[in-house]
Amino acid sequence: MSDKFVTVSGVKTRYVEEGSGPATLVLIHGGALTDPGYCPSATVWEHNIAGLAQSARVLAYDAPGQGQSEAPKEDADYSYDGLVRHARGFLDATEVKKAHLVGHDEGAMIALRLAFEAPERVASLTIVASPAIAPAGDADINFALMGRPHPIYGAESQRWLLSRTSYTDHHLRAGRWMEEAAETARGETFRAVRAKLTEGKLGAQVRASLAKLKANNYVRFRETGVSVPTLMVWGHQDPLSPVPFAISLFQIVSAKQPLTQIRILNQAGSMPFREQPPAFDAAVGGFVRALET
Amino acid sequence: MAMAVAPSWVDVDGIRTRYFEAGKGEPILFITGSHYGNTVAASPAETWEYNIGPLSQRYRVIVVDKLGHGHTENPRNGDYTQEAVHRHLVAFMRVMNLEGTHVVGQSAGALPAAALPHLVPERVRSLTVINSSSLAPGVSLNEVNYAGCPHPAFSREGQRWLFERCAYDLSSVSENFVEAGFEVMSQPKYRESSELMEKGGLKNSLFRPDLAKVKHETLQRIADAGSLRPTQVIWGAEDHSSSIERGLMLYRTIAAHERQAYFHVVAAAGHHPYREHPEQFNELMTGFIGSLN
Repeated sequence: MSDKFVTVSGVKTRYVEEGSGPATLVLIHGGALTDPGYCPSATVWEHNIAGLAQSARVLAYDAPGQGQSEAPKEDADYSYDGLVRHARGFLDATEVKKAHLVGHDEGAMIALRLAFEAPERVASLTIVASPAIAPAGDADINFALMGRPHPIYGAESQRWLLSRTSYTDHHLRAGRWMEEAAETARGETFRAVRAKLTEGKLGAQVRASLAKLKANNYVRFRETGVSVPTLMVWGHQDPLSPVPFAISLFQIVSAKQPLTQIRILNQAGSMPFREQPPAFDAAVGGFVRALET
Repeated sequence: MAMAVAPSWVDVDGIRTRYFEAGKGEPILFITGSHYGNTVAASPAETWEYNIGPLSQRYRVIVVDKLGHGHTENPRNGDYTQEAVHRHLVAFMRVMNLEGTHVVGQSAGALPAAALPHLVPERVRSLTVINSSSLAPGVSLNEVNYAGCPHPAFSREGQRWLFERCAYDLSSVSENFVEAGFEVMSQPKYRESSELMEKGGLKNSLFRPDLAKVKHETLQRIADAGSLRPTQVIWGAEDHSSSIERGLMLYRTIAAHERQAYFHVVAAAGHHPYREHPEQFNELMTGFIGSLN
């Protein structure tokens, strides 16, 4: 599987592609522009793409400023509204008329907003382990990641952080993501983006945009609901968004969307697709196949 | 929809046993709900009418009528116990030479399904349990559910009334399903079992104490040693007889030991999620079985 590039509103965007249609799956990683302490990219899906490609054409891309994609062009694009615009532009640029969107955490926020704003482009929605969307309780503070090793974004710090949110760290040793993530952190694009987020205060703008969309999600869940079939996949041992939070979200979404399902995978944390790839691929593949028949 | 195939009969240690069989491949054994001689409604094999055909394209699908249930003969010597149901299923698997079986049980069929990996581990490859108050920990609401049926005992109307109470979408209650249940209740052997259970007092003196014992032993074994096989717990979210919380308790008990454990909640579905969302259920089975190999 080789890297491909496409330009989306002036931003050179890296993606990978495998399998063939008629159905198209687009995978959207989490953590874009939120300064999460690790370097997310399309490579987080490395253990899933071949499995999912059994059921559909699969595309996975790096969000602007992540992996091998270029940084956002304008300061205004340092926001989730900007990332949603980019996602829609990515569908246009790759000529995907309608996609089954699969988003992890903040990537699920992008997918959900596309489902709200452009339902004609979205065949179904899969929300994976998403504290960005799920109710999080009043305090909204999670201590799972306190006291991380420095330097942050060093290879050790990234690995530590991801192992803390996983059931085991086996998935971090398998595949090439961790290696790529350490390399990304040393790169110029990443350092420039991070400077904008921290010193340039754009990080606060990104967080505010996420909070605004999250609040608006609940209004839309209540008033119109999600108009497309929705699958949720969660890790049983997710320390960032425990199962009861996921079940709450399931109940909120299913109140208006009859085709809503949730599947909890055992022995998986915040990245269930990396810890239980065959089970994850089976769940998403089956959901999509059933919709296509 | 009629069943995809005509019924077959086999002698299982002296009990004339009815079953349906279709397709080739890894065997899937479906075990249906109900207890002996229920006067309101029976749960016929036709409950799986939307699943046998599609799944038999890839698998050897078998639906069996439990001892004293459906069209299978009543227990000998008044042995109206849950243990006798389990013994009969073990013998059925032996007589049918079932190996590497994917066992699926719903409602009162999930209790024997969950017991089978402990009774005949060499014959069971995986376990799927669906909306079961009989198996899930916690208080069963079956009596509440059956109470106040406005129709006469053994009537078509009572049969339909109960299925409709169990369903989210009334259109899932097919005429064929109702008629098949009515046909079961109309047999002299069924009336005989009801007579023994109700007027003969066997329900309270024999069946219920044994059911409680078998449930306790099965859950205790699962808590001690796990379900012994990859297990998915599938739950229709709108089931009056067993809430999502009870499904989650059952899943948690299983997941404490079993690595390949999954909890799957289906919205807009009651007691029979495989009837209300057959395409999704059939792909769920295919995906689950595929992910094991």
